[in-house]
Amino acid sequence: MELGDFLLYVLPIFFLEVLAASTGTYYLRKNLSQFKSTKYLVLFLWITVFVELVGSYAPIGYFSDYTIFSFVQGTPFENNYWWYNSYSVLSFSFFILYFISFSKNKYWKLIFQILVGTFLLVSILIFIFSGTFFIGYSPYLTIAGTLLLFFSVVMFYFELLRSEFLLQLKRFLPFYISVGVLVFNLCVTPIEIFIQYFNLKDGNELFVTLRSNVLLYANIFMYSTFILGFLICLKKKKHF
Amino acid sequence: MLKKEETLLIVYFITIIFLLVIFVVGFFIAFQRRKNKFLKERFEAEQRYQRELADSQIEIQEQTLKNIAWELHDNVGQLLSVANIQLNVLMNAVPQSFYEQINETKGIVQETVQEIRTLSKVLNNDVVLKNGLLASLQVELDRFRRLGYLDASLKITGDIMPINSASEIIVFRILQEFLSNVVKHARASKLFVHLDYKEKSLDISAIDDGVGFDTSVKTDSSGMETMGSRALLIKADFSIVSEVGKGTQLFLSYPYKNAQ
Repeated sequence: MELGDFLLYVLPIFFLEVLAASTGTYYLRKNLSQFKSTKYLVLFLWITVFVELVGSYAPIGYFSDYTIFSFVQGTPFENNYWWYNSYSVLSFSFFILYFISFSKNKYWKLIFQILVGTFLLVSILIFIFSGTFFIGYSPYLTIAGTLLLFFSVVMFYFELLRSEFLLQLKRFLPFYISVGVLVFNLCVTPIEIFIQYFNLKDGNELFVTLRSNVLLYANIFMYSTFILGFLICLKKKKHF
Repeated sequence: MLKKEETLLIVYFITIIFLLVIFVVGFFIAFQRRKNKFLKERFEAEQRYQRELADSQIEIQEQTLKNIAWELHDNVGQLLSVANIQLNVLMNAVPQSFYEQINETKGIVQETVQEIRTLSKVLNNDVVLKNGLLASLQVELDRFRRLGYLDASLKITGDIMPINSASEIIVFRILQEFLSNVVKHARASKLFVHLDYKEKSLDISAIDDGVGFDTSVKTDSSGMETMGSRALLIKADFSIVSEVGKGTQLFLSYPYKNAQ
């Protein structure tokens, strides 16, 4: 893959991430959010921006033939898998807890907290024992994380159906977040299962292009939904 | 290496998942919209019913007032006229020493006839409509002054705007209710009514210097509620400010556009 292609796939995503985080900050400053979790969400969006910035060391090194960041060449840190592995576990855990925070049912909250704890523990174990931490992503973790997230969103929707917020769904920020996160994770997971084909050996060009495109459009969809949600929710007097 | 068919399968699955999620979310939103619409319709029907109820109540009240006005004007007025004639007859039959007293009585009877006429005028909403808000209000205030209840004054500022007649009668009834409360309870000596015709609304304030009352204490009298519900009927801003010993103030702001 050429540098130009790479930038074409990565830059729009990064740009949208920064925009979403900025809109979120603006949203927080503009009004007192009813939910404390909105603050964490914006914080998480900024962490994402930070993760992307730090994670870019690997492609920079690769495309510069390791004239920059030459110290990572030949070490396990040559690829940024370890960095994004950690991030994806963090991301799943965060969003599950985010949606669960709107639940009023104590037992479900507890169950999901335990599940998230188990998920974190299992992922650490998988990283240690399967050895994929530095060389690739683990499809099992992606599937487990996506399923957990899916259940938490379903839970969130059920609670929503029973709550008053349903009457003002258009102005309910977590709804937009849920749509974005759900679409992104469900659509990206099938691609992640075949991650081992994501290299330029053995004529995998088709899959490489597909994955880049799916990631690009899924990210665009997710962050656009976030930005849209922030903007729409800004326009009313009573905020969430 | 991944075969083309396998890649296609992945694409297929991603598309299906995407469409499914979009469908579910769309369904969710459509359901919520429909539900909201239904609730709103029910709420509106309820409100319409309440409004009609209030409307008919007012109509009944107006009809009653009109009947009383007719009775006063036609019956009581006629009887008093007859009494007047009787007094004239009596005057010719008694010695001159009674003339003064009889004349005085005749004067009182005539005054009563006059009072009853004016009273019937402000009670009958047809007459109120014909005379308009300002003239009727003036008649009412003059009546109070003449009867020696209190010193009432009316001030009008701004360019006088024609008001929708149905609203006009309600505004007048609110003021009438307030005035009669002032006469009955306030023990006021001065009353000041100010009609300010602004660009977009008619602002009315009525201020007395009576004993006032505690607005936080609920009373049995329906007067306050009647005024409030009437103001609501014409969508006017209505408030009564009062404190014990500091008089009572009524503020009413009626936007012209409510007439439509």
